[in-house]
Amino acid sequence: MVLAMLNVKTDILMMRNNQCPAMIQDVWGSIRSRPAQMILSFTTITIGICSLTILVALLCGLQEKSRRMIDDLGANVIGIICSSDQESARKTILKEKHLSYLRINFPDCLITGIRRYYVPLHGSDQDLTVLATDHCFQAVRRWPLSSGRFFDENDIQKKNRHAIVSLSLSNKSGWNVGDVILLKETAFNIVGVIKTSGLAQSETSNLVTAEDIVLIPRTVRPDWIADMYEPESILDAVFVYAPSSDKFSAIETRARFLMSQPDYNVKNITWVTPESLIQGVKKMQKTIKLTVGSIAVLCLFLGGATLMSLMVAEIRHRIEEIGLRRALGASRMDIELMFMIESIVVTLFAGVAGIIAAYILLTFASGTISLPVCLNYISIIVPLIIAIFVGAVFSFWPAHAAAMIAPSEALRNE
Amino acid sequence: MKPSILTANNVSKTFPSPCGDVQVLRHVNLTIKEGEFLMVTGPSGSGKTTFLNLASLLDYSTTGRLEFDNEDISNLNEDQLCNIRKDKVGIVFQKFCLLSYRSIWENVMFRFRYLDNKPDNIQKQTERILCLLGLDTIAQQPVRLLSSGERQRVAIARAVVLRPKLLVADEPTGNLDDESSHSVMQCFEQLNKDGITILMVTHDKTLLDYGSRHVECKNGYIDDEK
Repeated sequence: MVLAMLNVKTDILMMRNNQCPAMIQDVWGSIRSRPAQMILSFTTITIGICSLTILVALLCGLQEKSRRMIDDLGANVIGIICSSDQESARKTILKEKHLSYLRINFPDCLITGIRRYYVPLHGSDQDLTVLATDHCFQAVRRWPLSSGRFFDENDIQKKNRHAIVSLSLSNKSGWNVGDVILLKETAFNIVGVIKTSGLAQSETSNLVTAEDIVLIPRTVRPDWIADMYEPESILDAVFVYAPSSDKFSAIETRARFLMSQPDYNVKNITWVTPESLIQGVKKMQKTIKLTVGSIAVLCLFLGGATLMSLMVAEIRHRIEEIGLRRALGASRMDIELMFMIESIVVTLFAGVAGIIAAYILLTFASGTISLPVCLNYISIIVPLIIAIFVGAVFSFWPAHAAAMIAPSEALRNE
Repeated sequence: MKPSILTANNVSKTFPSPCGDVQVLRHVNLTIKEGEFLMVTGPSGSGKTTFLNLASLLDYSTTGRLEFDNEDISNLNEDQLCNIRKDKVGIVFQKFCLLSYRSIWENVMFRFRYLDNKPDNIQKQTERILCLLGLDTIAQQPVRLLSSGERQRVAIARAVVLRPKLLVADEPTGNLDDESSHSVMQCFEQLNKDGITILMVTHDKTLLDYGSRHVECKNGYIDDEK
């Protein structure tokens, strides 16, 4: 099939033999005369570029995730998040009283608390994340409203069964303002739709940012928790919004100090700040750079080395052609450029194929892996530039060696 | 009196080797006049091909003075030699040296590949030379499908399509049977009659009659008196 395609393209080139630039004809002539070698080089470079594209897409994805998490957390927001999801452990961790202590100690700051529930969704085997919070949540987290309104103090005090759904959930489920939804056995009236970044990736991060969530007033006692604990008494996270960035670090230091006091009895909590998010993402980026980066570098090096060794073999095979070209007036530079352009063309096309392969792989894998991936222009341009670079670097020496062969020597070769 | 195309004046060529320098050409004095068909014969290793390389500007002489088209080329650098070679010298090789995956037309057109100033009528020139050598009807065939005789005619067409000052042929019939050899020699004869100067090396003494002059190369010396 490949040979048939080559023949078709050959015919096209033959028909256009007067219009094609000579260099393109040279490169195409070389490729079609030695398809096996070209396919071997092409394949190795494609694998390398595919790995590299995945690496770049992951790094870009992490960068984007970091940016969006910071956006969702808020620039001056400190998150105090319960690290354990065990009910028994949780009752001795973050409680309503801690929220009150913090409000007393930081009167300038806006402070909100969240309790998270996983509620089975009717007609689906998936659990829905329900965040029970108060009217301060919107002022602290600043997630924009898409439609409707957020809870007010009246909703909290009167324990109104109101709900706010995320825009992604609204789009998926067709829920809108005014609709009534049933969370397990309890009916809630949707009063607003809120925009979130849609980056729920882990237990911790879906408190920082979330995709498909429903917000309800924390004072509403839902039926799904039975009567084990008072719903107000247990929290999964507390968020503190500093009034200005100047006071942010001082507030963070003081809050950490307060929460470490023995009478607060707070254990197993994670502090989330924009800085800690960046650090977390950087740590992940470093790991990915080391693992996927090593694979990409190794593949590219092997691809380049294969390309170089095949070029050396090819130059031996084409030594008569080199002699002919020199006899017809090609300079050393012409010969050097010809071989370099040939390998750059191969690596460039291998680069394109590698990028396409990476895109296909990532598209298929996106359903199964939870790693953030961002396929943007950087994840195209960087692998392409590296493909060209690999082609140029690994072909330089063989091309130079080919150019240095004297024409009489090349023609005498047997 | 016809002007000379190539003049070798006391030209020698030495190649370095692990056992010391090997002198392949010794004090060669030879003049090739315009319109001549000079045949060079001699045993293997006598320096014929080395002389041909000097004449086709593919190599340098170690000593002596070499003039091509009334220009001293003894001291020219590689780029300068290359510039003269691509415009004024046509070369036919024993092994044909064709681009096997290209058509006859593409191989002949390849002669213009490295020219800085391509003539306006390269298509017509190519058509004319293919007609002259009887290749016009199969011009689009890939050369890998041709017989040896046809391949050599393609190589000749490529060498002469630019109408060179000097056509150099290194044993062009070495890989051909008798019939093909004579067919190819008739092509050379025709081109010579058209005014192209030819310098040809051959082992086949039956072909000497095609040439207008014959010199013999022996132990690096070329006897111009023959």
